[in-house]
Parts: sequence; structure tokens; C-alpha cells
Amino acid sequence: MSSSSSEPESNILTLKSADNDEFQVEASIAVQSTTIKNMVEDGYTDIPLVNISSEVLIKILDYLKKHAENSGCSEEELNEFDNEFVKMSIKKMSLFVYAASFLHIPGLTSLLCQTIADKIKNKSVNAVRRIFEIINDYTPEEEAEVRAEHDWAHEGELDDTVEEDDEVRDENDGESDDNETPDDETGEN
Amino acid sequence: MAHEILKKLPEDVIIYILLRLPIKSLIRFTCISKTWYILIRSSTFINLHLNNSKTAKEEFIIFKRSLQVDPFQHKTTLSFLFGDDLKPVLSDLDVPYLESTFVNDYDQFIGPCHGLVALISMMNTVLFNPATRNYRLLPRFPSDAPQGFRCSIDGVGFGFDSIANDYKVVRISEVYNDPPYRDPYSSEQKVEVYDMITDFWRELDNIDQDMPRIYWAPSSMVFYKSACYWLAIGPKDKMIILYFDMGTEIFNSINLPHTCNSYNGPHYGLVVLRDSITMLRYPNPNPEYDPAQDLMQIWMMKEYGVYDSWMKIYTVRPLLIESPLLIWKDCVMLCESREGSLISYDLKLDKIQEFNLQGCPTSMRAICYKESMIQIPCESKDSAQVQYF
Repeated sequence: MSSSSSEPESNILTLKSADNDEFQVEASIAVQSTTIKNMVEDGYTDIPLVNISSEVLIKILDYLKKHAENSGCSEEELNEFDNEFVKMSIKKMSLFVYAASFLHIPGLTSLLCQTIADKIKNKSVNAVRRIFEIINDYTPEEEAEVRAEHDWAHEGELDDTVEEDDEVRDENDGESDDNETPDDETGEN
Repeated sequence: MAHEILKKLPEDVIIYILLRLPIKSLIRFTCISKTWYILIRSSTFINLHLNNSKTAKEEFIIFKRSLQVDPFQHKTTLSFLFGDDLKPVLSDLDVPYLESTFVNDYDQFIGPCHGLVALISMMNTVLFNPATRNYRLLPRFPSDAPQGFRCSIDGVGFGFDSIANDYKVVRISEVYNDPPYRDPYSSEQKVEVYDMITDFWRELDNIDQDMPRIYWAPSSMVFYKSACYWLAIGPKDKMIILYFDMGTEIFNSINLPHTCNSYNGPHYGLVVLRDSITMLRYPNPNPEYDPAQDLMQIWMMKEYGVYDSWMKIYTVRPLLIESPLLIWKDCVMLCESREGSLISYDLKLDKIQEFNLQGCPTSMRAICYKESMIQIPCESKDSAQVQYF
């Protein structure tokens, strides 16, 4: 089906992050990202990813390796990996979901979106605003009116916290994160 | 840089996340900002949410029953239930417009269609979206049969016309030309359709007077694949399925398996199971009849419209029930017991469970639905508006 003249299996791609770090990855693993797959089919082996930081890219490459067809992982192992993968703050996860969506990795996008949804579903309006840094453009009267339409949706125990219990608090905007476990490998370097 | 990324979270990513939220959260989050309100309330998002098969959607039960308030006053109560134990998700609702002197055992509970259900009595139709807790009283049926005539309502249906993008209610009634004797040979069938878009009832012309007569039973009407289906009595007193295509507004019929279609004796019900039209035949609940003589049979039409694909999928041991209400979770049948309480029967495990939910006998109905954000339309200012509970 591929119109590319070269077989992807033995190809090594060079992915370049926003921080100008280079990562060598087998094409057969990287093409789980449809974005990368399209570039490979157009003949590229150097893939610049100017809007994805090294930190995020490293972890995504981990995911791709684990979820590759020939990784030999059982469903249980994959589930365990996924559960560990998403152990990060919602703010951090937003960076990943942005990257996963840009790279068109459906399984990862779905995993991240579902995790974010599960984390925010019981949160209060204020908490969600703070997490995603959304500006409230309602006037107090407007907001009261919208709320009154479905008052019942605001009832019950709503979680007002911005960060979850086990996560590290982001000191700044999440650029430095002390809690990341060091990765075993960073590409094929 | 992270800061900027958060602010630029693309709309399609936000939508991916929103699609995975329960309705209560979605509605609450319309208060976050005007952008979120517009996004969540947009018909694009609502339709995406409705048709989203990728995320597993929970099933809920609405359960209707009549309760006696005093000797000449009955109310209609809806309960909203969830899970194998049928736990309430919110408090019961006493439905306005549906109080009456006598038990409302003729009322029909119809749906779901896109997460909407309709409760139809002799006089009134109320449309509900239980997930968003909206409801609306629809305009009354047009003034009933002219002076001197009498009319009885045989069948009602509610569904969606995907061609006109319109929700419709259909009512089939019998107008007697010769009151007060109700000479059965001097009557005529009338079909009326209510369009949500125009908020009006209109009568259909050219009704075939030889059309099978609707068979009335508590759970004998379903909306399925853009048509309303009823059990009916066809030629030679054989049970048949009559259906009305919401788009073309044409009636048609489907034969029931010939070994299981005799009108006299057993009772019948119609449900949708595993996305197929399914017929239930069960013993007459009258205590004079011995239920062991006539076991309940459940037949499924595995391939739509193909007579030979009718297959008996279950034969059920004697259960003392008044009527089946629905089948959900693939094999759990909810029924009204003869004492007027709700019970469930697991068709695979052969297990009965009783619930502490009682009502006036023969008044129970139940519907299984998935939540949707569909707004109940209300085009006209003169009509009853959408209310909340």
C-alpha cells in the first residue's frame, strides 16, 4: 500500500525536538505516528518536530516502542505501562496530548484524553479553569444565569483542587519536573 | 513554552476530552467560559457525542409507575435507575400533566430516541431528556373526533425522521361513526403526526382501512432504525408487526414466525435486543391461566426483514409476571410481577431479583437509554416551554 520506494523496516529516522536534540528511531516504530508515516512515505528521514520538547518526545518514543507490533508485550504489560505512563499532572498531560494529537498517534491520544476526562469529571468549574488557564469571560450575572439553567449539575461533592494527590506540584509552568523517572534510553544513540 | 501550549490546546483535542465526560460534567462546564458554552451546546458537538461509539456509554433505566395518592387521585412517577441493583441516580419525579382519577394503565412510555423519551397519555404527551433533566409538554392532540363521534387511541409512536431532521410523534386512533354503540363495523382509522419542527399535528390522508389493528400491550412499541414498530393483529387473527417509517410516513408489515403468532391466549411484547427486533410471547397473566402450560418464548429476527431469520433464542420457565418491560444488559429482563412490583430475570443465569419498587398493577413501564445532550426543541413561544427538574 505504501508508495514509498524504500522498505521502512530497516530505516532509521532522526527526530529533532524543539530543544534541538536528535533521536534515532527505527521507522517501523515511528510510523505509529501517522504524521511521521506520511513524511517517511514522502521520502524524509530527518523529521523536525519544532513544537515538541525533548522531555515529551522521549516519553512518547518510549510509548511507541512499547506499543510497536514486534515489542512482544502482552496486553497486561501494555496496560500496566499505560497506567504508569499517565501518572503525571493534568497540566503536563496537556503537553503530551497536544503532541500526541499533532503526531496523530490515536492510541496515545485516546489514552491521554480518557485519563484527563476521568480526572476532571468531578471537578468544579473553578478548578478546571485554573488547570487549563481558561479566562472566565462571563459577567457574574451571565454566569449565574447559565448556572441556574441546570443547578443540579453543580450539586454533590465537587473537587475544587487543581492538582491530584500523588502528583508533584508544578513549580513554574511545568518546564522543570522533578518527578520524572530517568529514562533508560533515549532513542538509538 | 508549556504555558503557551496550554493556551493553544487545539479545539479538536478539547473535543476529544469532552466526548469522554459524563453529561453532568459537560453541563456544569458550560459555566467555565463562553467559548466552552458554545462548544458544548453546539449541534456539532451534540451529534458527535450522540454518535460516539468509541467511548463506552453507560445505560440507565427510567421506570414509570402509577401510585395512588387517594382513592380518586393517582400520580405518575418516574424513577431514574442505574446498575444491576437499580440504584437511583436522582430523586423520583412526579410527572405534572399526568395526574388522573384512575390508574394510568393505558399510558405508553416510548423511546429512547437519541436519548429522548416520550410519555403519552390519552390527553397529553410529555417529552423528556432524562440526562439533561429537561422536559416539555407537547401541544394536545387536535380536537378529538367531531361532536357525536368517539375515538379510541390504538397506538402511539415517537421517533426521528433523519431526512427532515425532525422528531415526530404518531398517533393511530379509531373513530367510531356510530356512538354510543361503537359498532366495530362502522369505524375508521385515523393517523396523525406531530412534527417537532412545526409544533403542529396533522392528519395523514389515504389511510388503508384494512391496515392491521394495533395490539395494545405495555411494551409492544419500539423505535428502531428510523421507524416505529408495533405488534398488530393481521389477517386471520394472526399477530404481525406493523411499522411506520418516520421519513416516508408509509406503513408496512413484517410477519412473525408462524408457529408463534396466534392472537388468542398468550400475550405479546416487542423489544430491541442486540440491535435486532425481538418478540416476546408470554402466558396470559390472568390467574385462571396456568403459566406452566404456555412457557414464555423469546424470538429474535436476526436479519432485518428476513422471515427465515426468526430464531427462538430463549424459552423461559414459568414466571409469575404481569408483563415484561424490557431486556437490558444483554440478558436481564425487567418485568412487572403480578403483585405490582418490579423484578428482574436473568435469562442466562436463570436468576430472579426483586426490587423494592411498587406501583399500581399494570401501570409499570421501563425504558433503557444512553445519555445524550439533545435539546428538546421548542419552536413556538405560544407552546409550553421546556422545563427542568
